[in-house]
Amino acid sequence: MLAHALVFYLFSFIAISSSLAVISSKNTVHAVFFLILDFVSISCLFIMMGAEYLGMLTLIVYVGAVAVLFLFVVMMLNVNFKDLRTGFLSYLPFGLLIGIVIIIELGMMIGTWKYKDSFIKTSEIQISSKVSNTEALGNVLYTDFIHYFQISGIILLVAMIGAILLTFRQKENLKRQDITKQVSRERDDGVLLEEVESFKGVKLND
Amino acid sequence: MIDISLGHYLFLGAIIFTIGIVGIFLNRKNVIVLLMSIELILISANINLVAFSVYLQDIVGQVFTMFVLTVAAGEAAIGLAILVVFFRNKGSIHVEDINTLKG
Amino acid sequence: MLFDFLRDYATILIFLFISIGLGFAFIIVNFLFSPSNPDPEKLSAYECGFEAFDDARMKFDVRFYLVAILFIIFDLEVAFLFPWAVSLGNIGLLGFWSMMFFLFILTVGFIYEWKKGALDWE
Repeated sequence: MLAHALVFYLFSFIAISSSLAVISSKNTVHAVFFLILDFVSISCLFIMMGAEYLGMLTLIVYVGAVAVLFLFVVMMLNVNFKDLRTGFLSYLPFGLLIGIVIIIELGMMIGTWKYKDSFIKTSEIQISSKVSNTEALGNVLYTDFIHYFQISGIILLVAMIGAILLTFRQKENLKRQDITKQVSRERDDGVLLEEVESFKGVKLND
Repeated sequence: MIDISLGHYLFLGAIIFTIGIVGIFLNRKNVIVLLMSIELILISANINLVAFSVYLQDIVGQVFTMFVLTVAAGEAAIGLAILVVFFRNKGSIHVEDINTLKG
Repeated sequence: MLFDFLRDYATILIFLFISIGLGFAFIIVNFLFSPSNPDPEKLSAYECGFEAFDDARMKFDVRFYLVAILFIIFDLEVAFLFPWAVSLGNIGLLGFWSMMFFLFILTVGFIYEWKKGALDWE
């Protein structure tokens, strides 16, 4: 019980402080690394709640793919990130005001809320030994939520095609290997046999 | 304090959400940090969904977390692609330079 | 119930703490015991070398980014495949064909990317 609370506070402290570092660090590469730390600690929190599959998925998708994508873009763009921070301090009072208002509103909502009986206590969370978290997800994801599932497939398709259309440029006069052409090349395409008469020579059209 | 309940996770989600919002206000010029703030907001929504799903013993919240994850990945891919194209055309990623349609 | 479940993860947590502690210990011990008496000659660039002109960051090709996009999409596809594979016995024919349609949609995108030449590396 105590260890559970301590681990929760440790991971949430890491999550909050690293997300503060994301928005305030001078170097954008460092910000990406703090984002990775944030995702890792939040995936640990997911596992602490018993949502194993989503914890692992957060590691794979966010840390393994999204953060790497951000890192690639930071490395790809040759931008002076120092210039981009001008005006940080002038925006600070307004941003803090908005942040404080939002956190007070949300805190009032959560703190004064009467919890219904249907919310269980932490010690009562059932982890079934028969049906794993992954299996419980799979049982409803593909049948009950089939429309959402197909729409997410289409979102992925649109993301893939959109990214290619936006960033891919075919380079001009580039010689590529065309394997079909290479394999289907016959002898006649490359070899020309010509009877050469003496003193007349031969004229090849090349 | 010792007994971690639903409220703790909701507060954590609220704090990370607020940090994401403040990040959007503070880093108005750096589009990459803007996109990272949006990722923070999305993951705070994920925390809320998973916490409610666990404390209501209902798997649907976790199913929707997977969809949010999908949308977050697509948003990062397309957002960064737009950023790359913008950098190619303008040579900078200042948000103030995105004013060509202003007339 | 939850605490019994989390007890399985306790070993990973201990491993995490030990590895973090060990990593910091190496740095701190190194910092404490290594001899350090710098002078201007030691700190300057080696012999006829130059000072660094700019930072070590070098520009990446946009192709790395395209490969990362492809990776992110198929990463999510695999993320959706795992629960499907685990619970294939329970979801019947509808679940099977729903995943087949999902795979078909993403294969269309894959063929598009292949034909467009975004995967070629010159």
